[in-house]
Amino acid sequence: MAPEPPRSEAHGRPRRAPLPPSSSLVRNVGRRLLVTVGLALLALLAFTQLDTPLSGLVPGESGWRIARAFFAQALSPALDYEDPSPGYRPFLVKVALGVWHTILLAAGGMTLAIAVGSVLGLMGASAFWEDREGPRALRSLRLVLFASVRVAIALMRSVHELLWAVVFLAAFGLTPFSAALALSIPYAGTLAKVFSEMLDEEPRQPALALRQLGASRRCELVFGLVPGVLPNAVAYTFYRFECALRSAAVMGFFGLPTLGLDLKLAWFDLHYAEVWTYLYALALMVVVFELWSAGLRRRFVV
Amino acid sequence: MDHTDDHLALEARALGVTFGSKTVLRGVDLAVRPGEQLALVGPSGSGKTTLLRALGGALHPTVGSVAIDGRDPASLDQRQLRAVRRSIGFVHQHLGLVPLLRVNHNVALGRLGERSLVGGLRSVFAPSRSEVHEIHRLLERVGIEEKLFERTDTLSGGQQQRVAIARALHQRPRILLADEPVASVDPARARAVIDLLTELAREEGLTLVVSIHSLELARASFDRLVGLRAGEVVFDRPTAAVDTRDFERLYQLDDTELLSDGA
Repeated sequence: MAPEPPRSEAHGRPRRAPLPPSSSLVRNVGRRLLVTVGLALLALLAFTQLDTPLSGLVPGESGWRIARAFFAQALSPALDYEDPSPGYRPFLVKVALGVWHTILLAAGGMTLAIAVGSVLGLMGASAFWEDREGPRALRSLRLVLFASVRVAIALMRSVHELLWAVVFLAAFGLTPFSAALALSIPYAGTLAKVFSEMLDEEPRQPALALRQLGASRRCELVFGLVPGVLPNAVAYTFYRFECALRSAAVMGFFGLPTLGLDLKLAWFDLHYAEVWTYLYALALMVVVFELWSAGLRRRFVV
Repeated sequence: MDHTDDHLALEARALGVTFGSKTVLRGVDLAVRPGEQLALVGPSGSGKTTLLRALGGALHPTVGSVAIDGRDPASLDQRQLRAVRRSIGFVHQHLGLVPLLRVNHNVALGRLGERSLVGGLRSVFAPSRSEVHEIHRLLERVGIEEKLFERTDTLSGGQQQRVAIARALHQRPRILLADEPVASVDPARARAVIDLLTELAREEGLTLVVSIHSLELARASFDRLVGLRAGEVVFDRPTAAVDTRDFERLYQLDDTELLSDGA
């Protein structure tokens, strides 16, 4: 049986890397310069290809007029419909409903994302797969599984939730569930990536001590590794929830009854005071959530 | 009982451990009877930690063999190895406590070896009254009962040391191995920690092997000393029979050792 790597000894004294010979230092500087110049050229190319002269940033006469009208309402958000008709529900109830649906969509997406992200996060950590014994075939299979988990996480993250939403809305139609699903995929991927990195940065000594007293692999990870990352993982999850709130609002642009839809319709009707009400509601929602989560985080971390 | 005389709690036969090209232990023979207490002494880098890890079944020797209660851990499957490890309490030099858990949780984890995931979660989130009492008694025994519900990382190094000892005892082991248990404890308290270990082991009838780099402490508290140097046993004698020449041999530095320091 192969001896285990000398883990405890490895912690003993960090070995200092020998200084590279001066010729390789010079070569490094040369390479860095090359990369820097290359990036600068790329930036220049991007500007020329975008084909936007700076004059294009100055709005025309009508643009100025809209901007003036819009910003003029900034300090007087609507408390009632600008163009009321009988049979509408009261304006502030409509705003509250928009907020409520935004929160529901974000919560639905995050619930899925947390469930999937936690499992994938654990399976995406190298600590989950290390030091397992078994026949060679089984070990190879584990490597393949590990790689697939990592690839799956990367793929989930690589497509933005709004693109997933477009795909799902086309496939399943306009349902809150398809929107929550769209939201949950990249969020689960991001949570999984961050969780697995946190797990791999945790010191291993507690987990190894639990292994030494006969704990199973599952218990070793859950009790030795997870508690250390929990406060940061919770804090990060709250931050992602805040992002999900904004994303859920934007999904209203596709017709879901979140703040985004109200905002879009009010904008098209040129009801700028109503637009401001929705914007303030969105900001207030995020700020209140942030205050609440900060309180929770403090309780967790102290 | 007569047959227990030839039954050994721990045994190393021609034990050798090599990490890559570095030989850490070479030809180590050691026999420890049940209930016996001994100290491994030697300079840092002499292989004490590696020997303890091998004796505890935490690493498999490159050559030779280890027997724990007569069973060679290298020949066991995962399930049997876990069973053997449950019978050994190990107080690590780095303690290996979970910093963010409370003291009572860390001590409860001592029994994680006999628990499933669900059982472990229950022992943390909804512990039985009797286990909390047991843990409280243990903490009383190691002298920090007032810390029962404190978060472990708020305790001093010496207090955490006691938590680690309590966890090892909660495990109800037959053998207790302690790796440099006083390395991070101030000298005034070191004696108290060693006395605590030897007393507890005596009360519970545990076999105790402790590695210490302080000769004074080892001599004062143990009847048998095993000297290790550069991975080899230099002496293995009752403390009374260990003389100053032995110690000189243990700690003298020669040129070759200075060159290969850090083994």
